[in-house]
Amino acid sequence: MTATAYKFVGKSLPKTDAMDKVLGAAKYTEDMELPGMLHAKLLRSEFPHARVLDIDTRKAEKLFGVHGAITAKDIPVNTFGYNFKDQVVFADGKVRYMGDPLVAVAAESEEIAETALDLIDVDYQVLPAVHDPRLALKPKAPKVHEGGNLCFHRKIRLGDVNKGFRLSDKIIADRFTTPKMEHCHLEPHSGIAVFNEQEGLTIWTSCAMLFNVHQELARILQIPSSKIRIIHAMCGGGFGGKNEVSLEPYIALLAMKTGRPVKMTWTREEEFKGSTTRHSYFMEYKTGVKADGTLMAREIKLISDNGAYTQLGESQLTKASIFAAGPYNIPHVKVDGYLVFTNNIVGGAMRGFGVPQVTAAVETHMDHVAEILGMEPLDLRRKNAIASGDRLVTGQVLHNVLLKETMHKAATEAKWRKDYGKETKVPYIRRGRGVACMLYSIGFTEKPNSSGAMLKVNPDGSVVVLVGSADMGQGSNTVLSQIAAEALGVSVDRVAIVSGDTKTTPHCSGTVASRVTYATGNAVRRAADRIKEILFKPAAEKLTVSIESLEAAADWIYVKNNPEKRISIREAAFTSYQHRGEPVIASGHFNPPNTPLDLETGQGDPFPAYVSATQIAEVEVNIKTGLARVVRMVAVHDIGKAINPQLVRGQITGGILMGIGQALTEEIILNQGETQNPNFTDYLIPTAKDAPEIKTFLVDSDEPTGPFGAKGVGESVNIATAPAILNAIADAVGVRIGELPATPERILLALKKAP
Amino acid sequence: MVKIEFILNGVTTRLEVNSHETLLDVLRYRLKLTGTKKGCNRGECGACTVIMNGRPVNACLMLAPKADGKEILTIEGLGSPERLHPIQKAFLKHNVAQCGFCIPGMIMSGKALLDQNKKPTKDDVRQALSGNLCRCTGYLPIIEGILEASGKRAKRRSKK
Amino acid sequence: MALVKIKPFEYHRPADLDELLLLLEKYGGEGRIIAGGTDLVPQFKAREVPTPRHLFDIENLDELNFIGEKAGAVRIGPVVKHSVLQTSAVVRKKTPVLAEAVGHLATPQIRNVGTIGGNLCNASPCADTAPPLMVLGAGLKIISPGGERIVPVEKFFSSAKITALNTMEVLAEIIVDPQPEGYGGAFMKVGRRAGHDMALASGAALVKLQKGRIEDVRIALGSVAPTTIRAPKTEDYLMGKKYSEKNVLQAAEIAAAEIKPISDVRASAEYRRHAVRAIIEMTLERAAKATER
Repeated sequence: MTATAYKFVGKSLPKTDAMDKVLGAAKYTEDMELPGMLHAKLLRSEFPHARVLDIDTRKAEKLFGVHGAITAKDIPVNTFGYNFKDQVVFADGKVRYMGDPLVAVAAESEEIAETALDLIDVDYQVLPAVHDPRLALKPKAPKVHEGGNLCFHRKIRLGDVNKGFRLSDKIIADRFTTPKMEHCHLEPHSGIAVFNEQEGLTIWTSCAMLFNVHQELARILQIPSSKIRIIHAMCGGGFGGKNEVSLEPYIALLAMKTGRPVKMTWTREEEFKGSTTRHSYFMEYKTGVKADGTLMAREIKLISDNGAYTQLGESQLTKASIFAAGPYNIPHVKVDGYLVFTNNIVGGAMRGFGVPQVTAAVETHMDHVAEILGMEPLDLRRKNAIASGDRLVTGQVLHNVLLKETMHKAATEAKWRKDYGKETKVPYIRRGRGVACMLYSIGFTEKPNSSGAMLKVNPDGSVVVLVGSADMGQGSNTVLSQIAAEALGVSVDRVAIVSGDTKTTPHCSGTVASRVTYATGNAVRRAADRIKEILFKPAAEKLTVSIESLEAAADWIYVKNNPEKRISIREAAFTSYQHRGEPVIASGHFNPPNTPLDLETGQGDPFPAYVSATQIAEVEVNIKTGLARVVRMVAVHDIGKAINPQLVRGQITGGILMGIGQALTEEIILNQGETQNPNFTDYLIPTAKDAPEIKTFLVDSDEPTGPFGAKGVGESVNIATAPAILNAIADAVGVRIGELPATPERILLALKKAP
Repeated sequence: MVKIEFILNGVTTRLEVNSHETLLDVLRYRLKLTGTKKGCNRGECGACTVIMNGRPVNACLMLAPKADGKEILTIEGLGSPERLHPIQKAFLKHNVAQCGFCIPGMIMSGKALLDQNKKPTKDDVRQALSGNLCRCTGYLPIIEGILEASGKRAKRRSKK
Repeated sequence: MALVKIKPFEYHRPADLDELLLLLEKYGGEGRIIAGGTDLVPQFKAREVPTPRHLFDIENLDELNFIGEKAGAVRIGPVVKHSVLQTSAVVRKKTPVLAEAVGHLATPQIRNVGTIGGNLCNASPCADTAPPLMVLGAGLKIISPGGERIVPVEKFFSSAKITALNTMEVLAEIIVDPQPEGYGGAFMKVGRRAGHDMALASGAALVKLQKGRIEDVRIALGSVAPTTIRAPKTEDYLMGKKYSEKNVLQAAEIAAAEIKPISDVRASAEYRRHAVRAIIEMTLERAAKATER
């Protein structure tokens, strides 16, 4: 079947939850209410680093309406963590950052729970704290954990950079800094837990890695995971901020202690002070290049502030290290990535997992290299860009990488190089354009990450799809329904989907790493193939043909070269159940193949598929105030086939706005470990007035290993944006900003300092 | 406790409220109208936008007693599957809602705009939505949806 | 950490000004006046302001809700909402720089509820209504059980978030001198993004030109001192001088030097000085152009 013959894949079909959402009828966790429900709140640390000598909850517990106040002594196992189990549910004897939870209180109302927190006395012995990861690496620095502040060191070694520098005509060095950022999903963390002896524990929460949290919770509570059910509720956005264990242990313990349902919703302030964040980076780049633009060597040092606990930090640093050198063929590469503990807010996963930070550095660095060489920035990139058949810095041979095609199309659509004029009608407003490219991956870094899918065809031929993935709002339920419908040959309006339930749906490693369309989609395809094996048996019997001669489409099973000869899927299903005694159920799974990286050289095959993009930004800069405004963006992406083009476009425009925030306004401002801007007034995300005109394009890409040619899109969309904008600012006003965000203050002060 | 009487989604409603509750609390927890969302609780995100006497306001900043004598419209009062508001229709047609959390507030701000200005420009729409934050969509699909609902054909930007 | 719920208080809705004054007399020290609440409610939630025992809601007092003209002045009640000011024909015609300023204030939702009186009594150094009122000239009528007084807007702000009001007083009227014939005005706010922001620095300018010379100039600057301030040295420098780019640039330098900005989470003092330079240059340019109309 050719692409144009697909009935559901490649079509912008309506989202499965669209109607409820426009009616305001979609129920998120905070909207849910259960009889007798209590409300829970957390008391968090007042200091970034301190011993906790005593916690006195007696006054709080006596307050009328309080049903429980629990601490580390009430929990069977207090540690968790994806890479290393060094994070604590309750701070136990020590607090390591200002969001560290000490006490969880459940009360009849939120008001009473808040009042109870004020009645808790904590005896702290303040310890010296460390907040700069560079200082944290020094020998005398205060230790966040006993093992020292270096959490992990990732090395990538390709060739010999010293030789590469010797062979170069020019050597260019740059430093680049990016801050901690917050996801700012509009729905705060929210969860409800219910416990009874028979059913065990049921938890509703929006969580992207619910199967992982499920196992962690079983370990924390020391009960079998078959007695815990986590149901992914309607989700108001994640972007990586709802991956790990967050509020589940507290509501679980309080539900078990009180015998009543317990709800906890974090405040927006808590999101800024106590939830996971994007890692901040100090980066040093040194590039050796020949006069004709051939990249010879690149040496990179990355220092990533992990905050107080590892979380997903190690995987994040590895991914950043893999992509740090940029999507280019460079014979000699040396990357040293250092993941460092500090007494700061914890770094976790945020859309792009380290790659937005290193791409901001390398792509602004590339423009600097181009400037030194007197080369046009896109030409420099074209000359060195990787393509299918080339190797990643880890040695992996790449397939289906259409980066050059994205460059070409972006240049055409943005009329790159045509005279566009840096002047505007207003003398102090300058216009500039910038380009950036990116490469990203599908699937977990280095580790197995399978997705399962179960399909049931009912006796009337309608279908239920069961998948463990969590629809975070991006539309995975819709996309997977489309894949199932196409793969089975059943109309999509006869397909229902159940997702994200640890008790009833098969395992999914997580709605992360841009992997669901690819991994779960492939699992659905495999399950669909097995379903067809079952259905084709009664069909073959009735039509008196071989099973091999059959195909399914449009609710019919038909003979491939004689389509008039056919039987409805409904009839085949009914026959299977009622006459053959075989229910039409099947499962499939898919694990994106990868190999771990060698610890000394970073060599290996970390991912099964890669996506790429080129984005071009046009900005206007007010040289009196320093304010930069993005006027236009052109984004060209290689994502494989778009299963649902409208949803893909939604991801790209949304991702670009996130990239604009990263470029111009967003940073968590910490002072001695305390967040100074824990609200939307001073942590500024882009508004409707900050949105530029955006043109999005996809290059024609067909991924042989992906379902119907698809790869993935979720994170790749906000990776090239910030450097494109920074390069545009440099083009407009002649200064390169070496740190994010490029606020009006940073731009203006750089302009004033410029010769 | 304070007694208030107001018109909610066309229906005269009498309640006794705590003076220190907000209208958002009353809507969500007393009246179980959960379509209006709490995103920040400080009037900074717009997820709690309702229409009061024809104007969009943040319900989280409105002390409950102030609702007395007012006419309030929430997302629940706007449309039903059989009779969708043009903005709701446009949002469905173009798959605008991603996570959906900002959408009720966006629709209310958009409706309030269209009630005052039948032919808004793109800038008018941006201005009207400037107090509604969204993290998923990048705003453009929402702006285009509201322009389409106003009867203007928004220029399609995406190409494959 | 901040609260989700505000602490309980006793809510009063006086039916008229007399009743309000009685309440102020009875509970003055333990109460606060609230109009729209867009500043007070988040401040109560964030515990930046302690929740008082009594709250007096004046939002619906007709006696305090008016826009009119009397004896040559524009008279505005304190509970007039920003969105009403923005579109009022009288305000746009007679005090255009005020209409311009409120259009930049926060978001549509806030402008539909927040009031000019609230903005002034909140007395933030960033208050958007203060610079226009200062350059136009305004008197704030304050009444109390004991009587009434009029305070010029320059004297209304004692310090950041502190006004000249005592606990038994209420701002009852804002009396604004209309922009005189032949003058042009402009307002500007410097922020961190194209979308709305708190002012890092703000300013209003009124200017009158006579044959290319500056016959009168008034400049007020916000967010660069504990209160909104005039810029007397800058004004003195410009008075009588030819309106030229050179003179405007020099004026900008003087303004940058005569302010007292702080460094905070939003901006450094150094940036605020640059922002003021930009404000002087850009508002004078627009104000001068506006005199041509």
